[in-house]
Amino acid sequence: MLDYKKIKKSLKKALKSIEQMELLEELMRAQQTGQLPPNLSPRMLASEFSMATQQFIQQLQLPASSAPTQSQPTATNGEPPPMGYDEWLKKLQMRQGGQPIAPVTPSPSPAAISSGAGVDEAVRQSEARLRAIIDATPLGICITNEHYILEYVNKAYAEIYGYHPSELIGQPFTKIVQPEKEAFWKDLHDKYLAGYKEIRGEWNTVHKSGKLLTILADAARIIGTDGKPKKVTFVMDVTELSHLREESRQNEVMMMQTEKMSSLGQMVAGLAHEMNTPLGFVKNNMEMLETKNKEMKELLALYEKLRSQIMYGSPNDVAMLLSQIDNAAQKVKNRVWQESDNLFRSSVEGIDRIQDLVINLKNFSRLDEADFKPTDINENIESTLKIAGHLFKGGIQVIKEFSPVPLVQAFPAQMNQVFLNLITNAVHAVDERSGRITIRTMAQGNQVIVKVIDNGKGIPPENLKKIFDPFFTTKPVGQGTGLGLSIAYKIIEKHGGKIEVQSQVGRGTEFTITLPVSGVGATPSVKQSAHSPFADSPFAE
Amino acid sequence: MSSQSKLLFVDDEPLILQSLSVLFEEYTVFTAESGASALEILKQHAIDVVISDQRMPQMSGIDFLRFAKEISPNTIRILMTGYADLQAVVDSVNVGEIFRYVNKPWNAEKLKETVRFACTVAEQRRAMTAAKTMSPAVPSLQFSQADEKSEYELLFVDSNPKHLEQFKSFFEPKYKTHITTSPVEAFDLIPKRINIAVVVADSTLPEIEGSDFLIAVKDKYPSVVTVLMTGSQDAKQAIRMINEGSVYRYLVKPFPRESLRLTIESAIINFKLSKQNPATNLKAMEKSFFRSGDSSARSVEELLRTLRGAASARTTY
Repeated sequence: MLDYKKIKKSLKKALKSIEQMELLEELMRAQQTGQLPPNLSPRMLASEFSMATQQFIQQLQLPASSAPTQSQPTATNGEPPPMGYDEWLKKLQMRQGGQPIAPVTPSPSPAAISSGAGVDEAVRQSEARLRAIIDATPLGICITNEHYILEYVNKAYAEIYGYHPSELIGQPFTKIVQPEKEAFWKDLHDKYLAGYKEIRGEWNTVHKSGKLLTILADAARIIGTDGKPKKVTFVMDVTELSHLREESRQNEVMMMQTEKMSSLGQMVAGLAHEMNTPLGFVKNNMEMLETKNKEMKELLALYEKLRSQIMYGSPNDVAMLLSQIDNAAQKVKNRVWQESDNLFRSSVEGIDRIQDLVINLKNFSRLDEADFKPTDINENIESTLKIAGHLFKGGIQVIKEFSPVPLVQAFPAQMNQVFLNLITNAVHAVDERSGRITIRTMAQGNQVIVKVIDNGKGIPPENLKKIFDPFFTTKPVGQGTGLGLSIAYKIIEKHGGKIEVQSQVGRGTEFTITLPVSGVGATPSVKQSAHSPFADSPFAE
Repeated sequence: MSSQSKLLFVDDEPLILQSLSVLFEEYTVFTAESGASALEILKQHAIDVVISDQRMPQMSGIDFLRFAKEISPNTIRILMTGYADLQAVVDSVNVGEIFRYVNKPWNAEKLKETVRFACTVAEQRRAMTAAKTMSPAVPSLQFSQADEKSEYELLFVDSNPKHLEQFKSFFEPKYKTHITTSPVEAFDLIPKRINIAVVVADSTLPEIEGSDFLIAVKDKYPSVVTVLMTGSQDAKQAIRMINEGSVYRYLVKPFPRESLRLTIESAIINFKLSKQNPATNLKAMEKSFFRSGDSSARSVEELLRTLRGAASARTTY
């Protein structure tokens, strides 16, 4: 048996790391749209970042050729990340063993600068403030010249790589890259300065200890006081986050697997019974008929003996054989004999039933079909209902109100998983005798709507908002992972659809799935012939 | 067993009923497609053996068997099912007090032999009940004289000495309670204390599995009532305890104190009953039916070896 508590615990951990992963991805998305870091509500890092770079450039009196634009509310239009940005930032600092960031000091107001006598003082103050900011920021900042030499590194930059700033300043930046990739990096550097390569993104660099790091980097081109082009690079260590991301990806797979196993366990129980019942009578009938067959063969042997005795034997022998035949015939003609036609017929029926179950099982799992294809939702629900048939045995009424619906671009196996989950939940919610489950499908514009409505006990409002949360369950330990609906949610989301719930305690629950016919967003990018057509391609990407 | 023996098959699948009726053509066979109609038949006919499916709409097999026990206590109850989910198996012992647990698809010869034996038991039970027209008042579950020390003794075997101490202090006021961590020691103690009525063992014991130990105890001392406590959820073990060990109760840990107390009290009643009416002791019946007391084995290990051999050669469930 599975130790659910243990699995739950480890999955909770996994979930946490998924949250962190999502945050990281948020960051990366923002970066791709030209906003590093993203303009999230505390905007701490964002304002710090842009202020630091702009002021830095201003103070050095260098014309910025490319400075990051002041961030506007982002184009990512994503929902706020699950973990607060502040929290994430704190965690990041702690992981890097840094000091808490000093509150951002607002830049000196233009009024203060331009007010006559105080100009020098204002500039001096501003510069000091800027130094403080640059030293305190968790962002690594460095300036490299056209000869690949690090002209400046801030504290954070040196710390990321495990050096003291003095160990880096004046050295070629290739000190922090993998030796075998030196040529690549120099080339990249040249191209960047020449203006036709960007370095925005994740890279691998090397710590002083030789440990490989994953960094998130962005850069700006500036012209130095010497009139030469320079590159200002902003670096963030995301090594741990990228590990976490990989870990959580694996954990998510495991989580899906656990839920699958648990649903499978429940299905196996029902299916085993469904199959063993016909197997029971088929086997029994066959055993009885086998015995009967033996008796009939004996009878036939006696008959053949009789034939020869009639020709060559004495009347006495014949009489004896006849009475033996009578006895044998008597033995044959028992109940099994009388019922043999029925027994054969019901055996074939039993085998048909088993065959039917196996076909449905195959239809349900869709193992032999393409993953992503135009899918008939009505047909999918039909095969799910067949597989869930054993659940309705107690007299639960299932009402199918199917309308013709267009084919939906979908993963049929995953759709079935969602339907099975909703149907199973409905069965658990309703009364065994008076339960009624209505499944309705309809087309609405470019969408297909599926409703699963039950007249069960309903979901109290305080639980209703939690039902799609992973691990939320009202079932006793061992009877549900609490993952079913959260996975259903993910699957529907992946198909570009929506899943909604309405419920009234004592009256019932109604789940509504809305699926776009096109299956937006579900098209797996890997499918787009990213792979070479040859298994052992010489043309590796 | 006579051709007069009456069997009742309960299954929501008519083809199972058809098949079984043909298999048991030499008996008087009744069939029912639901628990409710089966109970009606039980009320009207003296059924010797009832074989019921577990998964049925409206009334489950176990619920039906529980009512059957009340309506017709002398009827032998057999549960036959296509899937052994643990809860059903445990309930079949503790609630249904079934005689055998049979998996579908079944083995025809084994099933026939099992039913033949079950009919013998049922007949003897009925004869015994009829002879004692003044049927012995069944001791009630009320224990007003709780402070009175009982003549019966209990034996607990558990690998955890702390648990043993708890059992002892809980039961000692009423029953002399023996405790030990060693099944071997326990096995030697039983013949020395003839008043030991109930043996309770944990499933994980040093030296020998608790289930094996109880099977050996039941075989050597059929009158002793056995109770298994287990933390593991093993339907297979539970079925073996029913079919081979005639276990009286199967307690899944953790359980409330009260349910252990009730289990012990009803086990004592069961012990008294089987003293008064030996036909209620299925294990003793089984031993006399199938082999003539070959339990010459001395040690529990030796006995277990013989029993394991016997188990694989069993002709019944």
